Amino acid sequence: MTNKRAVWLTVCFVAYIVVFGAWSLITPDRKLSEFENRALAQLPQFTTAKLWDGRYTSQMEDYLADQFVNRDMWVGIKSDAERTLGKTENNNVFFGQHNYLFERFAAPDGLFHRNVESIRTFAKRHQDTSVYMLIVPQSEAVYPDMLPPYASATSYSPQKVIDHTFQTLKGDIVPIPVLDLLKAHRQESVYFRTDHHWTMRGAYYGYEAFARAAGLEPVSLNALASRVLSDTFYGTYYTKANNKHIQPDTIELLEQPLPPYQVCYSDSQTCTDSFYHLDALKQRDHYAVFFNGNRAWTTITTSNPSGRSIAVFKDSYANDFVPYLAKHYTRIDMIDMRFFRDNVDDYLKQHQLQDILLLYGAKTVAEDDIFKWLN
Amino acid sequence: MKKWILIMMAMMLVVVAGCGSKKVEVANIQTADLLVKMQEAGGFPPAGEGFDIVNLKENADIASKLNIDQSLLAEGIYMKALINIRADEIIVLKAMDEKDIATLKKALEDEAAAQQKMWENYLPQELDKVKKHIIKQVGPYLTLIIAEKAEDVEKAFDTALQPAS
Repeated sequence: MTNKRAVWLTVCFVAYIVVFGAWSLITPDRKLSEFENRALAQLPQFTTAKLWDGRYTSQMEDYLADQFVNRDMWVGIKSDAERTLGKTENNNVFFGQHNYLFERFAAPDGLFHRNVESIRTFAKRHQDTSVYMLIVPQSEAVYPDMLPPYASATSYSPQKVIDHTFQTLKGDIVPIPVLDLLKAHRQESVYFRTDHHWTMRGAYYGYEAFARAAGLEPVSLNALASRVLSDTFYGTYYTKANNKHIQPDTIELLEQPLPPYQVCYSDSQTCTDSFYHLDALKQRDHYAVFFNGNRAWTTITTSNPSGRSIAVFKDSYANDFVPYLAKHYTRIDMIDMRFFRDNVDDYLKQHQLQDILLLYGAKTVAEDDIFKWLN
Repeated sequence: MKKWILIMMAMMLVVVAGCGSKKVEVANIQTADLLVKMQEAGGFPPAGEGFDIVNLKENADIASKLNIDQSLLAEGIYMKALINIRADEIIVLKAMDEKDIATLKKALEDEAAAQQKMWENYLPQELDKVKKHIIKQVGPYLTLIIAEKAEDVEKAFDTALQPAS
Protein backbone atom coordinates (compact mmCIF):
# COMPACT_ATOMS: atom_id res chain seq x y z
CA MET A 1 0.00 0.00 0.00
CA THR A 2 1.41 3.39 -0.88
CA ASN A 3 1.80 6.02 1.78
CA LYS A 4 -0.71 8.29 0.11
CA ARG A 5 -3.34 5.62 -0.01
CA ALA A 6 -2.82 4.75 3.65
CA VAL A 7 -3.29 8.40 4.65
CA TRP A 8 -6.42 8.65 2.51
CA LEU A 9 -7.88 5.52 4.04
CA THR A 10 -7.13 6.64 7.59
CA VAL A 11 -8.67 10.08 7.02
CA CYS A 12 -11.84 8.54 5.57
CA PHE A 13 -12.11 6.05 8.41
CA VAL A 14 -11.61 8.64 11.16
CA ALA A 15 -13.85 11.17 9.41
CA TYR A 16 -16.62 8.56 9.15
CA ILE A 17 -16.49 7.89 12.89
CA VAL A 18 -16.16 11.55 13.88
CA VAL A 19 -18.83 12.90 11.54
CA PHE A 20 -21.48 10.30 12.36
CA GLY A 21 -20.48 10.24 16.03
CA ALA A 22 -20.72 14.02 16.42
CA TRP A 23 -23.89 14.18 14.33
CA SER A 24 -25.55 11.48 16.45
CA LEU A 25 -24.40 13.29 19.58
CA ILE A 26 -25.99 16.63 18.68
CA THR A 27 -29.22 15.14 17.36
CA PRO A 28 -31.73 14.92 20.23
CA ASP A 29 -32.73 11.37 21.24
CA ARG A 30 -36.11 10.09 20.08
CA LYS A 31 -38.45 8.12 22.30
CA LEU A 32 -40.51 6.39 19.61
CA SER A 33 -40.01 5.49 16.00
CA GLU A 34 -43.23 6.22 14.12
CA PHE A 35 -41.99 4.23 11.13
CA GLU A 36 -41.14 1.10 13.09
CA ASN A 37 -43.88 1.76 15.68
CA ARG A 38 -41.74 0.87 18.65
CA ALA A 39 -40.04 2.50 21.59
CA LEU A 40 -36.39 3.30 20.95
CA ALA A 41 -33.63 2.50 23.44
CA GLN A 42 -32.66 5.36 25.72
CA LEU A 43 -29.26 6.19 27.24
CA PRO A 44 -28.70 3.42 29.82
CA GLN A 45 -28.03 4.18 33.46
CA PHE A 46 -24.52 3.23 34.49
CA THR A 47 -23.83 0.95 37.42
CA THR A 48 -20.76 -1.19 38.01
CA ALA A 49 -22.94 -4.24 38.60
CA LYS A 50 -24.50 -3.79 35.16
CA LEU A 51 -21.12 -3.32 33.53
CA TRP A 52 -19.92 -6.49 35.24
CA ASP A 53 -22.75 -8.74 34.06
CA GLY A 54 -22.53 -7.33 30.53
CA ARG A 55 -25.91 -5.66 30.52
CA TYR A 56 -24.54 -2.12 30.34
CA THR A 57 -22.59 -2.69 27.14
CA SER A 58 -25.44 -4.49 25.44
CA GLN A 59 -27.86 -1.68 26.39
CA MET A 60 -25.33 0.85 25.10
CA GLU A 61 -25.17 -1.04 21.84
CA ASP A 62 -28.97 -0.91 21.48
CA TYR A 63 -28.95 2.77 22.36
CA LEU A 64 -26.35 3.64 19.72
CA ALA A 65 -28.12 1.59 17.06
CA ASP A 66 -31.55 3.04 17.88
CA GLN A 67 -30.44 6.66 18.14
CA PHE A 68 -28.21 6.66 15.05
CA VAL A 69 -28.83 9.76 12.91
CA ASN A 70 -31.56 9.29 10.32
CA ARG A 71 -32.19 5.76 11.52
CA ASP A 72 -35.49 5.49 9.63
CA MET A 73 -33.74 6.37 6.37
CA TRP A 74 -31.05 3.71 6.86
CA VAL A 75 -33.63 1.11 7.82
CA GLY A 76 -35.56 1.99 4.66
CA ILE A 77 -32.43 1.81 2.49
CA LYS A 78 -31.52 -1.57 3.93
CA SER A 79 -34.93 -3.00 3.21
CA ASP A 80 -35.01 -1.44 -0.29
CA ALA A 81 -31.62 -2.93 -1.04
CA GLU A 82 -32.77 -6.34 0.15
CA ARG A 83 -35.89 -6.17 -1.97
CA THR A 84 -33.85 -5.22 -5.01
CA LEU A 85 -31.80 -8.33 -4.39
CA GLY A 86 -34.99 -10.37 -4.54
CA LYS A 87 -35.80 -10.78 -0.86
CA THR A 88 -39.56 -11.25 -0.44
CA GLU A 89 -39.85 -10.88 3.33
CA ASN A 90 -38.61 -8.91 6.31
CA ASN A 91 -39.11 -9.69 10.02
CA ASN A 92 -41.28 -12.68 9.03
CA VAL A 93 -43.59 -10.47 6.99
CA PHE A 94 -44.03 -11.46 3.35
CA PHE A 95 -44.35 -8.88 0.59
CA GLY A 96 -47.34 -10.17 -1.34
CA GLN A 97 -48.88 -9.06 -4.60
CA HIS A 98 -51.01 -5.91 -4.90
CA ASN A 99 -49.51 -4.30 -1.79
CA TYR A 100 -50.65 -7.16 0.45
CA LEU A 101 -48.49 -8.07 3.44
CA PHE A 102 -48.74 -11.41 5.25
CA GLU A 103 -47.06 -12.78 8.34
CA ARG A 104 -45.35 -16.13 8.61
CA PHE A 105 -47.29 -18.39 10.98
CA ALA A 106 -45.09 -20.71 13.04
CA ALA A 107 -46.23 -24.32 13.51
CA PRO A 108 -48.04 -24.47 16.86
CA ASP A 109 -46.46 -26.28 19.79
CA GLY A 110 -47.77 -27.79 23.02
CA LEU A 111 -49.28 -24.50 24.11
CA PHE A 112 -51.91 -24.75 21.35
CA HIS A 113 -53.11 -28.09 22.72
CA ARG A 114 -53.16 -26.76 26.28
CA ASN A 115 -55.20 -23.78 25.07
CA VAL A 116 -57.76 -26.05 23.41
CA GLU A 117 -57.99 -28.14 26.59
CA SER A 118 -58.52 -24.98 28.67
CA ILE A 119 -61.35 -23.96 26.33
CA ARG A 120 -62.87 -27.43 26.63
CA THR A 121 -62.80 -27.29 30.45
CA PHE A 122 -64.45 -23.88 30.33
CA ALA A 123 -67.11 -24.96 27.79
CA LYS A 124 -67.94 -28.13 29.75
CA ARG A 125 -68.55 -26.05 32.85
CA HIS A 126 -71.01 -23.90 30.91
CA GLN A 127 -72.91 -26.67 29.19
CA ASP A 128 -76.21 -25.11 30.16
CA THR A 129 -75.52 -22.17 27.83
CA SER A 130 -74.59 -22.10 24.17
CA VAL A 131 -70.86 -21.57 23.83
CA TYR A 132 -70.15 -20.37 20.29
CA MET A 133 -66.66 -20.20 18.92
CA LEU A 134 -65.47 -18.18 15.94
CA ILE A 135 -61.81 -18.32 14.92
CA VAL A 136 -60.67 -15.73 12.41
CA PRO A 137 -57.95 -17.03 10.07
CA GLN A 138 -55.09 -14.79 9.02
CA SER A 139 -55.47 -13.14 5.62
CA GLU A 140 -53.07 -15.57 3.96
CA ALA A 141 -55.75 -18.28 4.22
CA VAL A 142 -58.11 -16.12 2.15
CA TYR A 143 -55.53 -14.76 -0.30
CA PRO A 144 -53.00 -17.61 -0.61
CA ASP A 145 -52.41 -16.77 -4.28
CA MET A 146 -51.07 -13.34 -3.31
CA LEU A 147 -48.20 -14.79 -1.26
CA PRO A 148 -44.72 -14.70 -2.81
CA PRO A 149 -43.68 -17.98 -4.44
CA TYR A 150 -42.75 -20.74 -1.97
CA ALA A 151 -43.81 -18.63 1.05
CA SER A 152 -46.67 -20.94 1.92
CA ALA A 153 -44.24 -23.84 2.33
CA THR A 154 -42.61 -22.00 5.24
CA SER A 155 -45.79 -20.90 6.97
CA TYR A 156 -48.30 -23.01 8.88
CA SER A 157 -51.86 -23.16 7.63
CA PRO A 158 -54.34 -21.19 9.79
CA GLN A 159 -57.07 -23.50 8.50
CA LYS A 160 -55.36 -26.44 10.21
CA VAL A 161 -55.49 -24.62 13.54
CA ILE A 162 -59.19 -23.90 13.07
CA ASP A 163 -60.03 -27.43 11.91
CA HIS A 164 -58.10 -29.03 14.75
CA THR A 165 -59.71 -26.79 17.37
CA PHE A 166 -63.25 -27.39 16.11
CA GLN A 167 -62.63 -31.10 15.72
CA THR A 168 -61.23 -31.45 19.24
CA LEU A 169 -64.02 -29.40 20.80
CA LYS A 170 -66.79 -31.12 18.89
CA GLY A 171 -69.87 -31.34 21.06
CA ASP A 172 -68.50 -28.87 23.61
CA ILE A 173 -68.82 -25.71 21.53
CA VAL A 174 -70.88 -24.51 18.59
CA PRO A 175 -68.33 -23.84 15.84
CA ILE A 176 -68.82 -20.88 13.51
CA PRO A 177 -66.78 -21.55 10.38
CA VAL A 178 -65.98 -18.38 8.44
CA LEU A 179 -63.12 -19.21 6.11
CA ASP A 180 -65.23 -20.26 3.12
CA LEU A 181 -67.48 -17.24 3.54
CA LEU A 182 -64.51 -14.90 3.58
CA LYS A 183 -63.04 -16.63 0.56
CA ALA A 184 -66.32 -16.21 -1.31
CA HIS A 185 -66.20 -12.47 -0.66
CA ARG A 186 -62.47 -11.98 -1.07
CA GLN A 187 -62.94 -9.32 -3.74
CA GLU A 188 -64.53 -7.00 -1.17
CA SER A 189 -61.42 -6.21 0.93
CA VAL A 190 -62.35 -8.44 3.84
CA TYR A 191 -58.86 -7.99 5.33
CA PHE A 192 -56.50 -5.07 5.68
CA ARG A 193 -53.46 -5.31 3.44
CA THR A 194 -51.02 -3.85 5.99
CA ASP A 195 -52.53 -5.14 9.25
CA HIS A 196 -53.34 -8.52 10.78
CA HIS A 197 -57.04 -7.75 11.38
CA TRP A 198 -60.07 -8.32 9.22
CA THR A 199 -61.89 -5.23 8.07
CA MET A 200 -65.35 -4.30 9.28
CA ARG A 201 -66.63 -5.73 6.01
CA GLY A 202 -64.85 -9.01 6.69
CA ALA A 203 -66.24 -8.98 10.21
CA TYR A 204 -69.72 -8.55 8.72
CA TYR A 205 -69.52 -11.99 7.15
CA GLY A 206 -68.36 -13.39 10.48
CA TYR A 207 -71.36 -11.73 12.11
CA GLU A 208 -73.70 -13.10 9.49
CA ALA A 209 -72.46 -16.63 10.17
CA PHE A 210 -72.71 -16.16 13.92
CA ALA A 211 -76.22 -14.69 13.73
CA ARG A 212 -77.51 -17.62 11.70
CA ALA A 213 -75.95 -20.12 14.13
CA ALA A 214 -77.46 -18.27 17.10
CA GLY A 215 -80.91 -18.08 15.52
CA LEU A 216 -80.84 -14.34 14.92
CA GLU A 217 -81.83 -12.57 11.72
CA PRO A 218 -78.69 -10.72 10.55
CA VAL A 219 -78.95 -7.15 9.36
CA SER A 220 -78.55 -7.06 5.59
CA LEU A 221 -75.31 -5.62 4.28
CA ASN A 222 -77.33 -3.28 2.05
CA ALA A 223 -78.93 -1.73 5.11
CA LEU A 224 -75.57 -0.57 6.43
CA ALA A 225 -74.23 2.90 5.69
CA SER A 226 -70.64 2.85 4.52
CA ARG A 227 -68.24 5.61 5.59
CA VAL A 228 -64.48 5.83 5.07
CA LEU A 229 -62.82 6.84 8.33
CA SER A 230 -59.23 6.78 7.19
CA ASP A 231 -57.28 6.20 4.02
CA THR A 232 -53.90 6.57 5.68
CA PHE A 233 -53.90 3.51 7.92
CA TYR A 234 -50.61 1.64 8.30
CA GLY A 235 -51.09 -1.54 10.33
CA THR A 236 -48.92 -3.96 12.28
CA TYR A 237 -47.59 -5.82 9.24
CA TYR A 238 -46.44 -2.56 7.71
CA THR A 239 -44.56 -1.76 10.89
CA LYS A 240 -42.70 -5.05 10.78
CA ALA A 241 -42.07 -5.02 7.03
CA ASN A 242 -40.06 -1.75 6.98
CA ASN A 243 -41.20 -1.31 3.38
CA LYS A 244 -42.06 2.31 2.71
CA HIS A 245 -43.46 1.62 -0.74
CA ILE A 246 -46.57 -0.17 0.49
CA GLN A 247 -49.74 1.86 -0.02
CA PRO A 248 -51.75 2.72 3.11
CA ASP A 249 -55.01 0.97 3.98
CA THR A 250 -58.53 2.31 4.17
CA ILE A 251 -60.70 1.89 7.26
CA GLU A 252 -64.34 1.57 6.35
CA LEU A 253 -67.14 1.90 8.86
CA LEU A 254 -70.39 0.03 8.24
CA GLU A 255 -73.05 1.57 10.42
CA GLN A 256 -76.56 0.43 11.15
CA PRO A 257 -79.17 2.78 12.54
CA LEU A 258 -79.36 2.07 16.28
CA PRO A 259 -81.29 3.55 19.17
CA PRO A 260 -79.01 5.19 21.78
CA TYR A 261 -76.61 2.87 23.61
CA GLN A 262 -73.87 3.16 26.17
CA VAL A 263 -70.32 1.78 26.21
CA CYS A 264 -68.43 1.51 29.52
CA TYR A 265 -64.82 0.45 29.98
CA SER A 266 -63.09 -1.36 32.83
CA ASP A 267 -60.40 1.25 33.26
CA SER A 268 -62.49 4.36 32.88
CA GLN A 269 -64.99 6.05 35.19
CA THR A 270 -66.92 7.56 32.33
CA CYS A 271 -68.98 5.86 29.64
CA THR A 272 -69.42 6.92 26.03
CA ASP A 273 -72.31 6.77 23.60
CA SER A 274 -70.37 5.32 20.68
CA PHE A 275 -68.39 2.21 19.71
CA TYR A 276 -66.09 4.45 17.73
CA HIS A 277 -63.33 6.59 19.11
CA LEU A 278 -62.50 8.98 16.30
CA ASP A 279 -59.58 10.53 18.18
CA ALA A 280 -57.66 7.33 17.46
CA LEU A 281 -57.35 8.51 13.87
CA LYS A 282 -54.87 11.10 15.10
CA GLN A 283 -52.66 8.35 16.52
CA ARG A 284 -50.54 5.77 14.83
CA ASP A 285 -52.88 2.79 15.29
CA HIS A 286 -56.07 3.74 13.47
CA TYR A 287 -57.62 0.34 14.26
CA ALA A 288 -58.08 1.66 17.82
CA VAL A 289 -60.99 3.65 16.38
CA PHE A 290 -63.01 0.57 17.33
CA PHE A 291 -63.62 0.75 21.09
CA ASN A 292 -60.43 2.75 21.58
CA GLY A 293 -58.33 -0.42 21.74
CA ASN A 294 -58.59 -3.35 24.14
CA ARG A 295 -59.72 -3.40 27.76
CA ALA A 296 -60.08 -6.04 30.46
CA TRP A 297 -63.83 -5.69 30.03
CA THR A 298 -66.18 -3.49 28.06
CA THR A 299 -69.91 -3.31 28.72
CA ILE A 300 -72.44 -2.24 26.11
CA THR A 301 -76.00 -1.52 27.17
CA THR A 302 -78.58 -0.97 24.45
CA SER A 303 -82.25 -0.10 24.51
CA ASN A 304 -83.05 -3.33 22.69
CA PRO A 305 -86.17 -4.85 24.25
CA SER A 306 -85.10 -8.48 23.67
CA GLY A 307 -83.50 -8.75 27.11
CA ARG A 308 -80.92 -11.09 25.59
CA SER A 309 -77.32 -10.82 26.78
CA ILE A 310 -73.97 -12.17 25.66
CA ALA A 311 -70.40 -12.42 26.91
CA VAL A 312 -67.82 -12.16 24.15
CA PHE A 313 -64.42 -13.54 25.13
CA LYS A 314 -62.19 -11.90 22.60
CA ASP A 315 -59.00 -10.50 21.24
CA SER A 316 -58.81 -7.45 18.98
CA TYR A 317 -60.52 -9.23 16.04
CA ALA A 318 -63.79 -8.69 17.90
CA ASN A 319 -63.41 -4.92 17.98
CA ASP A 320 -64.89 -4.32 14.53
CA PHE A 321 -67.34 -7.24 14.88
CA VAL A 322 -69.16 -6.52 18.13
CA PRO A 323 -70.94 -3.31 16.92
CA TYR A 324 -73.14 -5.55 14.72
CA LEU A 325 -74.41 -7.43 17.78
CA ALA A 326 -76.04 -4.31 19.25
CA LYS A 327 -79.04 -4.93 17.01
CA HIS A 328 -79.84 -8.18 18.83
CA TYR A 329 -78.72 -7.87 22.44
CA THR A 330 -79.68 -5.72 25.39
CA ARG A 331 -76.36 -6.24 27.04
CA ILE A 332 -72.98 -7.21 25.58
CA ASP A 333 -69.87 -7.76 27.67
CA MET A 334 -66.51 -8.07 25.98
CA ILE A 335 -63.87 -9.79 28.06
CA ASP A 336 -60.23 -9.76 27.07
CA MET A 337 -58.40 -12.58 28.85
CA ARG A 338 -55.05 -10.94 28.22
CA PHE A 339 -55.96 -8.36 30.82
CA PHE A 340 -58.88 -9.80 32.79
CA ARG A 341 -57.77 -11.37 36.07
CA ASP A 342 -61.05 -11.67 37.98
CA ASN A 343 -62.93 -14.92 38.32
CA VAL A 344 -64.70 -15.47 34.99
CA ASP A 345 -67.58 -17.58 36.39
CA ASP A 346 -68.32 -15.00 39.10
CA TYR A 347 -68.43 -12.30 36.47
CA LEU A 348 -70.81 -14.25 34.22
CA LYS A 349 -73.08 -15.06 37.13
CA GLN A 350 -73.07 -11.56 38.56
CA HIS A 351 -74.12 -10.03 35.26
CA GLN A 352 -76.39 -12.92 34.30
CA LEU A 353 -74.93 -13.27 30.83
CA GLN A 354 -76.79 -15.85 28.75
CA ASP A 355 -74.89 -16.52 25.53
CA ILE A 356 -71.15 -17.03 25.31
CA LEU A 357 -69.07 -16.35 22.21
CA LEU A 358 -65.34 -16.97 21.98
CA LEU A 359 -63.97 -14.85 19.14
CA TYR A 360 -60.25 -15.08 18.50
CA GLY A 361 -57.69 -14.87 15.75
CA ALA A 362 -56.15 -18.26 14.88
CA LYS A 363 -52.76 -16.95 15.98
CA THR A 364 -54.04 -16.13 19.46
CA VAL A 365 -55.53 -19.60 19.88
CA ALA A 366 -52.27 -21.19 18.75
CA GLU A 367 -49.77 -18.95 20.49
CA ASP A 368 -51.12 -16.85 23.36
CA ASP A 369 -50.85 -18.30 26.84
CA ILE A 370 -54.11 -16.74 28.06
CA PHE A 371 -56.82 -19.40 27.95
CA LYS A 372 -55.68 -20.91 31.26
CA TRP A 373 -57.23 -17.86 32.93
CA LEU A 374 -60.70 -19.02 31.81
CA ASN A 375 -60.62 -21.70 34.48
CA MET B 1 9.87 -19.19 32.41
CA LYS B 2 7.92 -22.40 32.24
CA LYS B 3 7.95 -22.64 36.01
CA TRP B 4 6.47 -19.18 36.28
CA ILE B 5 3.67 -20.05 33.93
CA LEU B 6 2.91 -23.13 35.97
CA ILE B 7 2.88 -21.16 39.22
CA MET B 8 0.62 -18.53 37.67
CA MET B 9 -1.77 -21.19 36.42
CA ALA B 10 -1.87 -22.83 39.82
CA MET B 11 -2.66 -19.48 41.44
CA MET B 12 -5.41 -18.84 38.91
CA LEU B 13 -6.95 -22.18 39.72
CA VAL B 14 -6.95 -21.37 43.41
CA VAL B 15 -8.58 -18.02 42.73
CA VAL B 16 -11.22 -19.54 40.46
CA ALA B 17 -11.92 -22.35 42.91
CA GLY B 18 -12.14 -19.81 45.71
CA CYS B 19 -14.74 -17.83 43.80
CA GLY B 20 -16.79 -20.89 43.10
CA SER B 21 -17.11 -22.09 46.63
CA LYS B 22 -17.88 -18.67 48.03
CA LYS B 23 -21.40 -18.78 49.37
CA VAL B 24 -23.50 -15.72 48.79
CA GLU B 25 -24.77 -14.36 52.04
CA VAL B 26 -28.18 -12.80 51.93
CA ALA B 27 -30.55 -11.23 54.39
CA ASN B 28 -33.48 -13.33 55.44
CA ILE B 29 -36.54 -11.38 54.43
CA GLN B 30 -40.08 -12.42 53.57
CA THR B 31 -40.96 -12.18 49.89
CA ALA B 32 -44.03 -10.08 50.73
CA ASP B 33 -41.84 -7.49 52.47
CA LEU B 34 -39.40 -7.64 49.61
CA LEU B 35 -42.24 -6.90 47.18
CA VAL B 36 -43.32 -3.85 49.21
CA LYS B 37 -39.82 -2.39 48.94
CA MET B 38 -39.72 -3.15 45.22
CA GLN B 39 -43.14 -1.58 44.65
CA GLU B 40 -42.01 1.58 46.40
CA ALA B 41 -38.90 1.80 44.26
CA GLY B 42 -40.88 1.25 41.08
CA GLY B 43 -43.35 4.01 41.90
CA PHE B 44 -46.30 1.62 42.21
CA PRO B 45 -49.19 2.84 44.35
CA PRO B 46 -48.80 2.00 48.04
CA ALA B 47 -50.88 -1.01 49.11
CA GLY B 48 -50.91 -1.98 45.45
CA GLU B 49 -54.18 -0.33 44.41
CA GLY B 50 -55.17 -1.51 40.96
CA PHE B 51 -52.89 -4.51 41.32
CA ASP B 52 -53.62 -8.06 42.26
CA ILE B 53 -51.17 -9.50 44.78
CA VAL B 54 -51.15 -13.27 45.13
CA ASN B 55 -49.30 -15.44 47.64
CA LEU B 56 -47.93 -18.21 45.43
CA LYS B 57 -47.34 -20.56 48.33
CA GLU B 58 -51.05 -20.44 49.23
CA ASN B 59 -52.67 -20.10 45.82
CA ALA B 60 -52.00 -23.39 44.04
CA ASP B 61 -54.14 -22.40 41.07
CA ILE B 62 -52.22 -19.26 40.14
CA ALA B 63 -48.87 -20.93 40.87
CA SER B 64 -49.67 -23.72 38.45
CA LYS B 65 -50.85 -21.21 35.83
CA LEU B 66 -47.45 -19.59 36.09
CA ASN B 67 -45.86 -23.05 35.80
CA ILE B 68 -44.29 -22.65 39.21
CA ASP B 69 -43.97 -25.88 41.17
CA GLN B 70 -45.24 -24.96 44.62
CA SER B 71 -43.31 -27.74 46.32
CA LEU B 72 -40.05 -26.05 45.33
CA LEU B 73 -41.05 -22.81 46.98
CA ALA B 74 -40.29 -21.65 50.48
CA GLU B 75 -42.29 -18.54 49.64
CA GLY B 76 -43.51 -16.66 46.62
CA ILE B 77 -45.49 -13.60 45.67
CA TYR B 78 -46.94 -12.30 42.41
CA MET B 79 -48.05 -8.79 41.51
CA LYS B 80 -50.01 -8.05 38.34
CA ALA B 81 -52.03 -5.11 37.03
CA LEU B 82 -55.68 -5.97 37.70
CA ILE B 83 -57.73 -4.25 35.01
CA ASN B 84 -55.48 -1.64 33.54
CA ILE B 85 -53.86 -2.33 30.23
CA ARG B 86 -50.40 -2.38 31.70
CA ALA B 87 -47.72 -5.00 31.30
CA ASP B 88 -46.30 -4.35 34.78
CA GLU B 89 -45.67 -7.50 36.74
CA ILE B 90 -43.38 -8.57 39.58
CA ILE B 91 -42.78 -12.10 40.82
CA VAL B 92 -40.56 -12.80 43.84
CA LEU B 93 -39.72 -16.39 44.76
CA LYS B 94 -37.67 -17.98 47.49
CA ALA B 95 -36.49 -21.47 46.67
CA MET B 96 -36.72 -24.17 49.31
CA ASP B 97 -33.51 -25.71 48.03
CA GLU B 98 -30.77 -24.09 45.94
CA LYS B 99 -30.75 -27.03 43.54
CA ASP B 100 -34.20 -26.05 42.31
CA ILE B 101 -33.27 -22.50 41.42
CA ALA B 102 -32.72 -23.38 37.77
CA THR B 103 -36.22 -24.87 37.48
CA LEU B 104 -37.82 -21.82 39.05
CA LYS B 105 -35.75 -19.50 36.91
CA LYS B 106 -36.97 -21.34 33.82
CA ALA B 107 -40.58 -20.69 34.87
CA LEU B 108 -39.82 -16.97 35.14
CA GLU B 109 -38.13 -16.95 31.74
CA ASP B 110 -41.12 -18.71 30.19
CA GLU B 111 -43.50 -16.23 31.78
CA ALA B 112 -41.47 -13.30 30.40
CA ALA B 113 -41.50 -14.91 26.93
CA ALA B 114 -45.27 -15.48 27.09
CA GLN B 115 -45.84 -11.86 28.08
CA GLN B 116 -43.69 -10.66 25.22
CA LYS B 117 -45.68 -12.75 22.76
CA MET B 118 -48.90 -11.31 24.14
CA TRP B 119 -47.85 -7.69 23.79
CA GLU B 120 -46.20 -8.10 20.42
CA ASN B 121 -48.97 -6.69 18.27
CA TYR B 122 -50.19 -4.17 20.74
CA LEU B 123 -49.00 -1.09 22.62
CA PRO B 124 -45.33 -0.47 21.77
CA GLN B 125 -44.58 1.23 25.09
CA GLU B 126 -45.84 -1.76 27.06
CA LEU B 127 -44.02 -4.20 24.78
CA ASP B 128 -40.84 -2.25 25.40
CA LYS B 129 -41.35 -2.69 29.16
CA VAL B 130 -41.67 -6.45 28.71
CA LYS B 131 -38.64 -6.62 26.46
CA LYS B 132 -36.59 -4.87 29.14
CA HIS B 133 -37.70 -7.31 31.84
CA ILE B 134 -35.13 -8.31 34.44
CA ILE B 135 -34.72 -11.79 35.90
CA LYS B 136 -32.39 -11.91 38.83
CA GLN B 137 -31.22 -14.34 41.44
CA VAL B 138 -29.60 -13.56 44.78
CA GLY B 139 -29.01 -16.57 47.01
CA PRO B 140 -32.28 -18.51 47.19
CA TYR B 141 -34.29 -15.48 46.02
CA LEU B 142 -35.43 -15.00 42.44
CA THR B 143 -37.35 -12.21 40.80
CA LEU B 144 -38.96 -11.29 37.50
CA ILE B 145 -39.47 -7.56 37.07
CA ILE B 146 -41.57 -6.00 34.31
CA ALA B 147 -41.84 -2.30 35.09
CA GLU B 148 -41.15 1.13 33.68
CA LYS B 149 -38.41 1.64 36.26
CA ALA B 150 -37.23 -1.98 36.25
CA GLU B 151 -33.67 -1.10 37.19
CA ASP B 152 -34.78 0.86 40.25
CA VAL B 153 -36.94 -2.08 41.30
CA GLU B 154 -33.96 -4.38 40.81
CA LYS B 155 -31.82 -2.11 42.96
CA ALA B 156 -34.40 -2.28 45.75
CA PHE B 157 -34.36 -6.10 45.46
CA ASP B 158 -30.56 -6.16 45.73
CA THR B 159 -30.40 -3.67 48.58
CA ALA B 160 -33.05 -5.43 50.64
CA LEU B 161 -31.18 -8.71 50.33
CA GLN B 162 -27.83 -7.37 51.46
CA PRO B 163 -26.94 -8.98 54.80
CA ALA B 164 -26.91 -6.55 57.72
CA SER B 165 -23.28 -5.95 58.60
